[in-house]
Amino acid sequence: MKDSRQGFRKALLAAALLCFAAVAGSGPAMAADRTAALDALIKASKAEGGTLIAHAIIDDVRARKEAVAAMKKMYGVDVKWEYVDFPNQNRFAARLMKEAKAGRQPSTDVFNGTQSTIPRLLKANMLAEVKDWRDIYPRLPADVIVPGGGAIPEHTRIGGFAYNTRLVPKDKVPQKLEDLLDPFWKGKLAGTPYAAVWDRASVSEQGTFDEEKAKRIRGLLSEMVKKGHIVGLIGCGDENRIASGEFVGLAMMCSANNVWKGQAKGAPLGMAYIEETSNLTHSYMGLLKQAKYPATAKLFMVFMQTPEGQALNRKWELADTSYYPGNTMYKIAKDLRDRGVAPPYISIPTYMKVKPQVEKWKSEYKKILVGQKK
Amino acid sequence: MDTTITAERAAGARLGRFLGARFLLIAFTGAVLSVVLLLLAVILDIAFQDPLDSSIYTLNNFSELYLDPFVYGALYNTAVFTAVTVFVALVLAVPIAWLAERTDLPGKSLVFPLMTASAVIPGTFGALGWLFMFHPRIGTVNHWLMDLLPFIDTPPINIVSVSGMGFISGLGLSSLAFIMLAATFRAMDPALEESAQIHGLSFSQRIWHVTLPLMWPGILAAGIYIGTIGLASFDVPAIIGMANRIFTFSTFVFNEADPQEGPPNFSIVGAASVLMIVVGLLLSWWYLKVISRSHRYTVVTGKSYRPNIVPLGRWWIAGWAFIGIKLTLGVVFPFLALVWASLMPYYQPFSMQALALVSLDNFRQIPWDIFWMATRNTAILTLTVPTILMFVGLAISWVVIRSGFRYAWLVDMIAFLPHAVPNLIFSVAILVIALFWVPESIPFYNTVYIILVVFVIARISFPTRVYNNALLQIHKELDEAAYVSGLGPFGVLRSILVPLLAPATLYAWIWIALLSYRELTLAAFLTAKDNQTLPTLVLNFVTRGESTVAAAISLLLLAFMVPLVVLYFFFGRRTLQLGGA
Repeated sequence: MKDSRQGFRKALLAAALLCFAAVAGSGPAMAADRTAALDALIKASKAEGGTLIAHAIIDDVRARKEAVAAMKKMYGVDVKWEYVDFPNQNRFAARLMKEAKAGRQPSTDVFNGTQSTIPRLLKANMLAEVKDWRDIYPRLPADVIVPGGGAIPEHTRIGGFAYNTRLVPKDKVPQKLEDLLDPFWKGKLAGTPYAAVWDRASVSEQGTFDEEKAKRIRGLLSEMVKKGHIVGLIGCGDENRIASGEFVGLAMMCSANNVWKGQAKGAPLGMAYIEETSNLTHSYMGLLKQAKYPATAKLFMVFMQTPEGQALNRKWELADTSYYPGNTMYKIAKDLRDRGVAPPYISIPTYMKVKPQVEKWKSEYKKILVGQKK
Repeated sequence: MDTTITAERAAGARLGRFLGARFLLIAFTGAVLSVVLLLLAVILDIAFQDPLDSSIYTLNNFSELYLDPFVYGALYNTAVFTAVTVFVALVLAVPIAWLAERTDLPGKSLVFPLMTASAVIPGTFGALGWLFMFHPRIGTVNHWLMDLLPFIDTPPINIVSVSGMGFISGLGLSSLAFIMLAATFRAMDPALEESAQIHGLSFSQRIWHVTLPLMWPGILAAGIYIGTIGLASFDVPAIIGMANRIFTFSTFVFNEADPQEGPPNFSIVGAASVLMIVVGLLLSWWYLKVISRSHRYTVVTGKSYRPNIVPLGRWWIAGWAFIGIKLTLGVVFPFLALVWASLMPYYQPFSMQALALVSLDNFRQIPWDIFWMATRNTAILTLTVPTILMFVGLAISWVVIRSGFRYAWLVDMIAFLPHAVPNLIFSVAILVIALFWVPESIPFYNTVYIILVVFVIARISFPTRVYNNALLQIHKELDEAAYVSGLGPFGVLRSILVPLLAPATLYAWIWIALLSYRELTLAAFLTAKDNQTLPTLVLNFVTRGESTVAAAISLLLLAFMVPLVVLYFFFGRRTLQLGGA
């Protein structure tokens, strides 16, 4: 009887300890995701003094403070974030390549880029070779890691048609590309001078390029310009100019989170996913080969994969990745598939396969949009 | 005999001192200008490089750029845009400079701070402010006019045009033209005007036949300078033009060179720079041709120099009305647009409905650690760049105007060239030098000093234009008298020229300080983690689509300028009084 009572007490104590550990251990990531490789990384980061030199990811200063606090709580590392404020990733990538050529220390340890810049850094052999991402963080899907391990996703982007919800009646919201030829749109549309989203519209998830579709898009774009539907050129970060009514729609917007950010501020913005053009791509975090503090950089990249990191990105950047169930982008991608709009996922290797065709057609579309070609 | 020998010896010693000082000034000028030439050489090198492989040299950049018929459309737009810009800037600046310097306009000491204040408002917001006022679809003024005038069924004003852009640009640049012209007007001797009056010429005839011809080199210098800025202008053509598929040469080139997707192609900017350099050389040649007849325009002599003031009578009301229109359009509108944007959660035209959304949230989003670092860097640049340039500019102008140096024309041409080259390519060139030529042990790359050097080089033409112009109006007889009295060139500079040039120095210093304070394109390509400036911080927020936070930072940027403008107001007035004494 005494033994059984003692056994019960021990069980109660163990349960209490487990509960305490769960509460004190700051959530599921801490308990479930701690691996020997992660412990070694934490140790190495502490040895570096916790200095993080990272570019562009998490723009809001308040969000960065939260990230630092969360990393302290999760890993016990006092992260000192030296933020590299350089939002033009193309210009920054060119700068990093020049630095590498001159044998200089790169201006950042973590580079934030897309399929436009990451392949360039890969080709220039500037990204680190990392083989142990999944040892450090087993939940990270293998297929999202860029070949060589130099980059992993930061958030998933889905492009589409952005519009002003006050100025566009519901029945005029385009469902397919031809809808943009409706006379309603005359004089009201803007495009981007770099043919964002259009350029990848003919790429399949398997890495094939549909030339016929590209020709059809060229025809449609030409008609939209000729008929005076597309009358302006703005950037993907210029959603304010849609919200202000200067333009009524942007064909096409690089990433939905620009629109969601506007919506969060009360801007009258909406996003339509058009089957023929919408696709899923990632914004990546690239680890530079010559990084000054590689362990802290890696630890940060891992942190951004955890539920806490994803939640932080969701809260401040209105962005997360499409491959963790429970994430907003996961739900959006699933919802689109359920509705019959199946945006293909274009990974870096897929993109690399069709890059010459994409570049060729991008140049054609750009010329039409800019007015260099009728 | 002894007296003759002593006089000859004294003359010989004076000549020796003159030649020695001349050699030093020419050597200094040569050293500074060799940096300009080095940068230009790097730019030419970039122009011939394959954009994807800098080890390959090719002419493709030129054929790609100059064989594209679209480029000629852009060049035509640029020509119209530049012509309208220069016209509007001068039409506004010449009368205001005259009112401020040559008349008894009440409260005229306010004109300088008010004109300079307009320069610190970022062009981006000025352009956006104008869009919100006069855009055919969302322009508030267009909406008001259409409501007021029921017989109008289309928006009466369309700012979305090449001439509309030129008007806005000219409005902004009229402050610069004013600064350049004010010193010239101030230094003008009214003797010829008085003679004309005695001979029965009416007021308008005197202005047309005497004052304006006397001011011609100054007006031409300002016109050429503004015209070159117009050729390379980016902010207004990008915000209003490119957004509406109206390309100028600079926006077309920038779009090719610095796309938001795809690798940048700096070689195309290099190829474009060659054309700009040729245009710059032609403009410089024209300018030099005018100043070669400089003696015709000398207005400050050793004898009877006394600036005269024209009484305006009741016309002062018209004078202030004219200034008021310029300030309302060029300062009040953009400033209100800026304040409005800084208080809004997202950028939108003014409306009563939107008033409910006013908050200070944008100020809370400012990254204060980066902000203070950027403020420190901006302060360093604002104070040091103009100070260095005053010394450099005076040395170059003395060599050009006073030294009698055989190749003075060449010195002046080289000094003008940086102004003609698009700023973007200058930054690319200095990056190449900093990365590949300057050892890593020297703290230059990714520091504020790299920005400082490029600011000095890129702005070198401004103080030289101002000093050339001002030196032309000081008769050589003053120098000669001083030489005879035993002063050397440095003594003449210190005792005669520097005091007489004080108003010009003050205008130029303040103006370069303002330009350094708000300079964006040059710095944007050179900043990294530790050498941000306030304008690049603003640009970063605009690039990320956070233009309302950018507006909040711009307002703080303006607030920091208040002490400088107030200082200018008091110090400038004092200098004017001293100068006029």
